[in-house]
Amino acid sequence: MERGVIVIGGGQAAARAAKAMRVAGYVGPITILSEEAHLPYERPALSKAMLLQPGAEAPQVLAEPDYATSAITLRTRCRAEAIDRTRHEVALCGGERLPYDRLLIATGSRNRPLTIDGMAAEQIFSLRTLDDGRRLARALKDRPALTVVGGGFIGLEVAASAAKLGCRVAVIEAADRLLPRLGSPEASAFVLDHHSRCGIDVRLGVRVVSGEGGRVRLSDGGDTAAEVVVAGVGVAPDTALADAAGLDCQDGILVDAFCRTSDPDIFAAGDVTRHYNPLLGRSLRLESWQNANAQADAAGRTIAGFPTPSAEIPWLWSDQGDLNLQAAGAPSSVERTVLRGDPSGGDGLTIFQLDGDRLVGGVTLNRGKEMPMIRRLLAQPELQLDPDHLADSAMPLRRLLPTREAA
Amino acid sequence: MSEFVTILVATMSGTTEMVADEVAGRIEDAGGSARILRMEKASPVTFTGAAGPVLICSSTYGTGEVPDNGQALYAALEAERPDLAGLRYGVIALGDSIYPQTFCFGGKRFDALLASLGACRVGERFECDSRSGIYPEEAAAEWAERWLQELGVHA
Repeated sequence: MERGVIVIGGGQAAARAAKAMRVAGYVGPITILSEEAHLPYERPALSKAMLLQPGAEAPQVLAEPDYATSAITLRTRCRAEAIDRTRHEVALCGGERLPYDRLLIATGSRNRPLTIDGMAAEQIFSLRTLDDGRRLARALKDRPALTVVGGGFIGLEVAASAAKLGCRVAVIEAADRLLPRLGSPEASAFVLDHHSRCGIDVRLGVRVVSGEGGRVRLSDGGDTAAEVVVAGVGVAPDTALADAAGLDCQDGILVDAFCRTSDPDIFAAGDVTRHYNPLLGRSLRLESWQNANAQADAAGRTIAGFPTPSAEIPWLWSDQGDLNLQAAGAPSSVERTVLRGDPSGGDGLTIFQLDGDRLVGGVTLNRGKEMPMIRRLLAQPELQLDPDHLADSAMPLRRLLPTREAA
Repeated sequence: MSEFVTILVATMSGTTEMVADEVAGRIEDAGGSARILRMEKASPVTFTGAAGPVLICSSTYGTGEVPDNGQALYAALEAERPDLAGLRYGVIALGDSIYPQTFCFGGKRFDALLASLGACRVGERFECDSRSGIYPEEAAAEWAERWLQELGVHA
């Protein structure tokens, strides 16, 4: 009897991959094992709409009726304990064992925990799940003073939402700039300016030393009001099951462009993977909605019998209050930066990152309409671009694409 | 005949805004004029006070939702139900065909709502599938040429 496909994980990649298998014509059984109580939902809303309008529903990855019409069995509150590769079985919490023909691991990532000396754990929040989001929304209801530890995407999204709600907000970042992993000092400066103007107290180059009552003390001797603390100090891929099963892992489950792990019957997709990107010619780990979808589509089609690589230029976006930031590419070295727009103006800014005369990355700050063209430019790495054209707001980016016919 | 087209944009990533830019260019090439307004800056008065036709440009979020920046406008139209008799409109809808049941629902929802308020759609609704490989701004610009003819705008 056909044992079908088991998907471990209940997020974007898990649900999307199940759907992609069906769209590609796979007819065997599909079972999703999710630890959460909810239907798979879109996480980007958690730091924005869910905080600003408590009670708002997070958008679902698949509409509820789709599970029945697509014959996808969703088991919620269901925790996989182990993968038995020899017997092709997943052991569940409680002793049940589910057989599989093919397995997809889409367990995502886990937040790095934060503890602060002198501060109760209940005062420190993190944000990954819908339940986390609802807890934080309740905590922000009385407009407490908030200190966000970590000036990355999640931290700044939460900070901006809380400031909109009327909270007094401080952001503590250990690096000397916000969004240090973005690799664009110009973008970091723009983002700092934006949040400072919104009244957020940003402290750079400092760490939290301890907490006491409603304040945290910082390594530079200063302190901030902190009735509530939100930790945005990064994530780690949730590779526990894969590690225990002996799959090749290296800060992420190692997969090729087709989402294949070191076991031919096991696939992995989304945040949990360190995957080979054929456009970049190297492996990387990405925590993004786009990558979750792209890998889910590739894994789904490959499992259904149509081997399909995931080959996209990395792209992410972050809505921080009234600031929309998008970044594309994965520059390993940036020799030169070209700006389009006025870094201090209200019309947004586009940042081009070049290595020699090749475009390797782009960031838009409230100029998202330029991002589709930037992504197309990045998909043609041999393109040599004239920096003067990139800097000229009057020059439509589409004109820089040589393979297109004149309109 | 010259027309003043108000283009209302609901977008998550910016693709729809780029499409709107391109379509605005075509409208101007054809002798009309166009103003692009992101939906968070619009209200029902944008419709009742429009000097000419309105063009809805909306992507689709999640399982058939209007993008965040268009939700308040959609809710306001639904709540206030202004009489839009006499208003002509067009719809550009972007979606992903992996969700066939809710494909392009962002644009389709606005289409149904405006029709229920008495407005009259001109031309076919333009639907673009993000997994088709077609560049949406090019396809939309071609569609816009036909739409302008149906509106009676000629270069």
